Amino acid sequence: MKDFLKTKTFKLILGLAILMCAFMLRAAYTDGIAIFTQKVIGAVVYPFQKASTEISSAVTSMLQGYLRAEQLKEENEALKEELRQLRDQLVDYESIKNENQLYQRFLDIKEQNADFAFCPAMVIGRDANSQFGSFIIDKGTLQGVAKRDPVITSDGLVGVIEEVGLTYSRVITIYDPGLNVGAYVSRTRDTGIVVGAVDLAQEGQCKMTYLPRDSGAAIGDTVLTSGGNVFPKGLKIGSIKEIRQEDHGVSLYAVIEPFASAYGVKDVFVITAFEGQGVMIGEDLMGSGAAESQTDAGSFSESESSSTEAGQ
Amino acid sequence: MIRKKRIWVFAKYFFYSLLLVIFYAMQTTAGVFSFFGVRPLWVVPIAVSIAMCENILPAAVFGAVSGLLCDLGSQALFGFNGLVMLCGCTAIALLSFFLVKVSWKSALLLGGGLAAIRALVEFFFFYLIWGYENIQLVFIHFVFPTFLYTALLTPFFLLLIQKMKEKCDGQWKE
Repeated sequence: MKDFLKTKTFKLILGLAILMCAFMLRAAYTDGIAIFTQKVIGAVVYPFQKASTEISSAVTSMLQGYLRAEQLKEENEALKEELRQLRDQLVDYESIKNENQLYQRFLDIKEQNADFAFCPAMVIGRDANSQFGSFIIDKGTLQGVAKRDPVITSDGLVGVIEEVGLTYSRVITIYDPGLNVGAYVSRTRDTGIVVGAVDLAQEGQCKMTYLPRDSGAAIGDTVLTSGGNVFPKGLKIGSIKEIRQEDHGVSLYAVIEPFASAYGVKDVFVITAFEGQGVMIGEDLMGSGAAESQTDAGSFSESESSSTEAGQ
Repeated sequence: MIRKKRIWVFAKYFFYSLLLVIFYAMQTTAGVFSFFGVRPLWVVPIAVSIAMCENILPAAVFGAVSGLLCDLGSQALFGFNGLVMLCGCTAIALLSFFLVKVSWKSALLLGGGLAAIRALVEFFFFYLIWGYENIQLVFIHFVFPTFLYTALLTPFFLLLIQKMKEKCDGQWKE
């Protein structure tokens, strides 16, 4: 070992060490500017570095698909799950949006008619055999719906409950000739009966019969319910499209275009209670016997033909 | 015969140099053989292996070159790693020549030793004396894993250098 310190090799190594120190001093002196040796070594290794970087990039991008296959699969599954959740949320959103719109309309009607008790309902079926647009709703006796309860939308009267089950009800519409509704023309106060007609039902219309010959009703006038024990007073029915003379010539009738189209309705309100519901006019004054001979605000011509109509 | 020897000695050193340059390029390429963000200093185990297999002067020269390569790609003052590696590889060559039997275990020990010394010196001069906060994190997350990774590679390069040396020396010794 002692001999090594005397050898030429040691002196050369010592020279190299001094050279390294000189590099350091020079590098410190130039303060960040590459010295000649650095430049030379850098120039030598640069092509290799460039090639290495390019090869690395190419290989990495080539293998990335394979190496990340499992990760991509998991990511794909996660995204699918997220998409499914978002779709569910969208369905919920649509449902809530519709519900919100329904309740907004419900609120408007409720504000106008404080005595009404409502039951919102959804149309769940339509009678394929009925040409008068009768339909089934998803509310029944469990929700307080009863036979003869009026069915409306925010636009106006649609019909009346004709048959009621525990969780469903069947509604007949104002296009049905079997339903008579006591009504009056809002401008002239002329009264009559709104009833369905086979020919008019095809066109989504009904008629108001028993208008007096001297009636001042005109096209465009609004027709409202006159009130009684079946329908509350003031429900909008429709507007007069045409006024014609009855065949017998004694009175006139008006062709009505209902505000609420029963053929396309999806959400309705059932008026389960209102002031005066089920009370016959004059019942309080004349007793129940007298009531039978009095007129009714609305009736079923088939089942209750003994009851005459309101306002007559 | 002498001409043949010179050619093969030159070829051997050329291969060593090429090996150093190629692995230096790999060392400075982001993401290559990177585990958890830690990359080895490829040129250190190569220089150690050369030092274990070759004479003292070539060991010192290749040590110095590998150190300078490290300096080229690091924030250290140019020549700093050159000096450390020059001294380290000279010492390894002397140890291998006089005291230690060349094997994968000694390669691991000597390679690990030099990598540790280089890492500690660098850590001392570039982090510790400047009084940075939380420098222990630098040591735990960067210096120590790099040292470990570098040390573990030495036996593989020793095998490679031994094969290259055998191949080249065998050509003119025949």
